[in-house]
Amino acid sequence: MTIRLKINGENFDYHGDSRASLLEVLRETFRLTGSKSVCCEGFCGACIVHINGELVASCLKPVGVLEGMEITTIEGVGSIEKLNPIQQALEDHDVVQCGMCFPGMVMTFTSFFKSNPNPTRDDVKAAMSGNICRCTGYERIVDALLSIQMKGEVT
Amino acid sequence: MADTTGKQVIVAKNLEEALAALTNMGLSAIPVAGGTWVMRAPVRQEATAQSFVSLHAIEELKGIEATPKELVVGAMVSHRQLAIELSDMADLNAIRVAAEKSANPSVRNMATIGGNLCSTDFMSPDLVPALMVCDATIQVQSASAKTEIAIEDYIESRSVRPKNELVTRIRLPRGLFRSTHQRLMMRKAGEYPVANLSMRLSIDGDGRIADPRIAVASVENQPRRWMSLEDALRGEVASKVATKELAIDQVKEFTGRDGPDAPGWYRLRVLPRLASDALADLMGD
Repeated sequence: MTIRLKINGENFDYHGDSRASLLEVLRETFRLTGSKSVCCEGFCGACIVHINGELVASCLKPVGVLEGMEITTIEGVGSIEKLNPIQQALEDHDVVQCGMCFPGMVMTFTSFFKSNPNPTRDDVKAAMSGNICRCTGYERIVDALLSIQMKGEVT
Repeated sequence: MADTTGKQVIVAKNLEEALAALTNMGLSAIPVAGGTWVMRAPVRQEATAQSFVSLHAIEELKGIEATPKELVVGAMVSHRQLAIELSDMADLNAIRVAAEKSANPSVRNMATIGGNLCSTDFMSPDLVPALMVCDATIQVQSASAKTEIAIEDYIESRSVRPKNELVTRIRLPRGLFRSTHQRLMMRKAGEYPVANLSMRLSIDGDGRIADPRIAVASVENQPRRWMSLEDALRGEVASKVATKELAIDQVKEFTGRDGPDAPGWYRLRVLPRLASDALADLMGD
């Protein structure tokens, strides 16, 4: 059975076990390794992608239900030449440490700022409840994210 | 990667197709709603030998219908949708809070009310105690019958219910009550609640508690009503301090579950505080 997936605007055919998680398929079949395989329980947020614009933990989504849906991974956000505002803020504030959590952080807050352009610090922290930073650099990440609001860069 | 020996995801287009697949495939298939429990089976070191019958495309299981007397929620409604749709309903506020606070944003987008009800081995659901205090009725359907069951009966029987039936809708009566939901986490994220408690009641003209309903999850293996505290509170003057004292007296009704996140005694120790916080919230303190 072939499953047709649309990932970052490109079509991919998948022929393996349709019960496999999207995360496994992204990393092991299509070599899109930006989404990280960490807790595999939906707790850590390192594998978060957008499916039809909604935040989803890709470790918990069987690939067989995704036919016809728009999947966006960290590889589909920004570019080397032009980072998206979240990526740029994290870089500008030098908050990237080990990097495990950052793909998920970027996906979470790219979505979050679209519907919350002027968040408070508490709003940002609540939105971060599904993204665990094992380096515990939370406060500096929050500072970086709030700088986006001040600059009004995300619309 | 999991093995590919004939196991698959079957995307049911309608309820009839899903029920037929479950009936025909017997124990070799399981229904999958949001996937957030089933997909964690390998982490729990459980086998996932079955095919998945995905319910995500079934329109009959989606949406919320509201009338002045009741709310009818489709089993595939997500926690996020529930939190949004129930935003101005004081009587069903416990469900809104439970939906809004459980897990984290990405899981709330995926996890469904039906999945929460059917995850027999999940000991820390937030929605189930909230649905208990809101007096939910669960509609279940098999290929041959459609029935409605009170939520407590459903929870008690769910592990032995026929494998080829599905929860289709949840019926919630409306009333002049207020309800709330409290949960305690050891940390703000990345784990399940140590204890959670939902409460619904009304306060009469003399400031006395009427029709209390209280339910607890995470403390034992299954969520259930806290009947002794309901009896103790009925007719009492609403007071946070008195509620805590009565809850301390009645906590012996529970046997705390030891787990990696917390020992059983600790879950019991925090329950009275959750009860008094719930009452304070309902009184507007």
